[in-house]
Amino acid sequence: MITETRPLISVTGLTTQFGSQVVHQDLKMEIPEGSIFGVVGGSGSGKTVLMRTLLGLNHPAHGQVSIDGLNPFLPEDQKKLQTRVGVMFQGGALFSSLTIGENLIYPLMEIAHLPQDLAKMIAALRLKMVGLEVDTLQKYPSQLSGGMVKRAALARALALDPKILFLDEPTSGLDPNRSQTFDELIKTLRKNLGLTVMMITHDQESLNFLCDHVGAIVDKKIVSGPLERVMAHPHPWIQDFFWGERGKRVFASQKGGR
Amino acid sequence: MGAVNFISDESGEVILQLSGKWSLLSAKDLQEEIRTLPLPRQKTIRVRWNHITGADVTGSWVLHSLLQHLSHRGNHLVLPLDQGPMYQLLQLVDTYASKEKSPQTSPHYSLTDMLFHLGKRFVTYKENISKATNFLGFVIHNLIQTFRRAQPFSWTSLAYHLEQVGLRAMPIVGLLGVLIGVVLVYQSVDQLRRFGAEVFTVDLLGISVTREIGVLITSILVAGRSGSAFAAQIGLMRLNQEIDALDVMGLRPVATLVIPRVLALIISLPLLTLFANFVALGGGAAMCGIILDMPFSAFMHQLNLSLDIKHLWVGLIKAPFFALAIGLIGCFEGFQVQRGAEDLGRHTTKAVVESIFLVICLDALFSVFFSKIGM
Repeated sequence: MITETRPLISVTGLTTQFGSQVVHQDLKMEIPEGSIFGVVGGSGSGKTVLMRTLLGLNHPAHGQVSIDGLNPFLPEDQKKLQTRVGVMFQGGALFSSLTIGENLIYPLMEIAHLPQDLAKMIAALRLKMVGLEVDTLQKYPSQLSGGMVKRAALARALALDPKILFLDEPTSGLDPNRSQTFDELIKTLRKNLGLTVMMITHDQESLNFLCDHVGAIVDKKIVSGPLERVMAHPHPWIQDFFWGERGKRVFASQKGGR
Repeated sequence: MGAVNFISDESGEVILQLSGKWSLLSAKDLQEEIRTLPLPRQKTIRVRWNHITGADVTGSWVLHSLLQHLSHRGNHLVLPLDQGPMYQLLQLVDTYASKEKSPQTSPHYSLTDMLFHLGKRFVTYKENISKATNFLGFVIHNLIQTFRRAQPFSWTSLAYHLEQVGLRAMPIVGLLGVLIGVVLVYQSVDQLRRFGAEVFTVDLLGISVTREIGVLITSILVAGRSGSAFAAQIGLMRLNQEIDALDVMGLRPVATLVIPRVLALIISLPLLTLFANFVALGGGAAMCGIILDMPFSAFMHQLNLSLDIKHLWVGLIKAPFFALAIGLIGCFEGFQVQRGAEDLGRHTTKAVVESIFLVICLDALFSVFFSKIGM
């Protein structure tokens, strides 16, 4: 199903540190085009820091990052990346003083310079794609439930027709049923829109259901590759994550290969 | 030659020839082009999208609405037979396309809504006053309990807040005091000189600073500095559910959070006022020395003649009341925070505005009171 193609995102020799605290050391990874790449790791292992670095929000001490052939730390490349990258932050990061509709229209009008009526139609379309009703457009983020905020945030991340979607714990804080529907939504969107997705997750179910490639951040480095290959890695944390009591239940189906 | 063209082939058939990039960034130009496109008179239109070099959802939406428009107009559209990416994107857009022409993205307000909100505001105002009065009573009850040692009291917390609201306010209160003294002298000398009464500048300075300006300036500054801080601290604790955590542990939030803050304010505001009075008089004395060539001894002599100790008391007596008002409103607004950062900001602003307002109202009442009792 997945054909190996050129890496869309590649990171080499990445070292990130805050003061004397080293978060990543000489980290190297590649995310193939068209894959759903799940990032796992213990609390504080630097999953979100890695995502922020890829987005150019956090400057690494050393190392190169290339996203779709562009460098997120160069101002001229950043401009090109604006419309190629969509991000859904952990808490949604919807602008609280704007309605959901205005949240969606804002990037369309500011970056793509769409006329307002067209932007409104596109916003309504995006909202329906993530399974929300059109009347949600008029509501403020504080009026929505946790699951709806996640969906609206996903709609905003998709607003600019990105090639690459970054998701920071998309299903955290959702009940299992909603997590499952959300995972299915991401899968459908990926298939329909041909996205490459990088998602940070703690949820083994999501990982098993969605991701074909996995990166496990352990000891300041990342072990990445197709899911079954990472699962076989001998590192104790990885063994524990995939083959611990919880992991075993979830990943049992993986044993026979996919 | 644009991205959208109607051409007719040899057999007279009309072809909608689409080309170029149909993406987010070209959507604006495409829509513009479509708007000015002359539409053909023939009924049947054959659509050709094999020259489209790239498309995304936004671009497909534009194409979708063009096709919709044509078929609503009565045209018969013949789509290409290929089921490639363009076809799939159009299908996708068609699945989720909204039937509404222009969806509302902002809440709509009608006249009745406005009236409703006006009424609601009024009712909320009334409710808030009763809530605030309730809070005042509750805090005073707790204060009395604390004094009667009926509930535990944290001296550490009091000391911390004394430092925050008292000691740390001294530099800015001092600076402002000096400037006020300087300005008062500078302004009044100009006016009094016309009557040859420059020497009464000292009387004016002494009485106005000790009775009114010292305490008012200090209170307004403290309201801006500490009232807002109280509201923000307590508000954030509410958002973090820290208040609920205190409540569940049986530590009463009012006793643990409000009492030390309010007490610290009640203690430090009179002291800050006294300090402000001194520096303002000092600034005034320096200014008198500069523009009136009045030696310090002469300034002190004149001050002695005009300034009675009761004027100082009039100013200082007001300070604890102002402190209570500032502290109560700051904490009260903090407790009112319910949803999110925006609410926090709104209540912090409200705390400052309301406490300054209340301080000035109280000051007016005190003026009437003092003049009635002849002080």
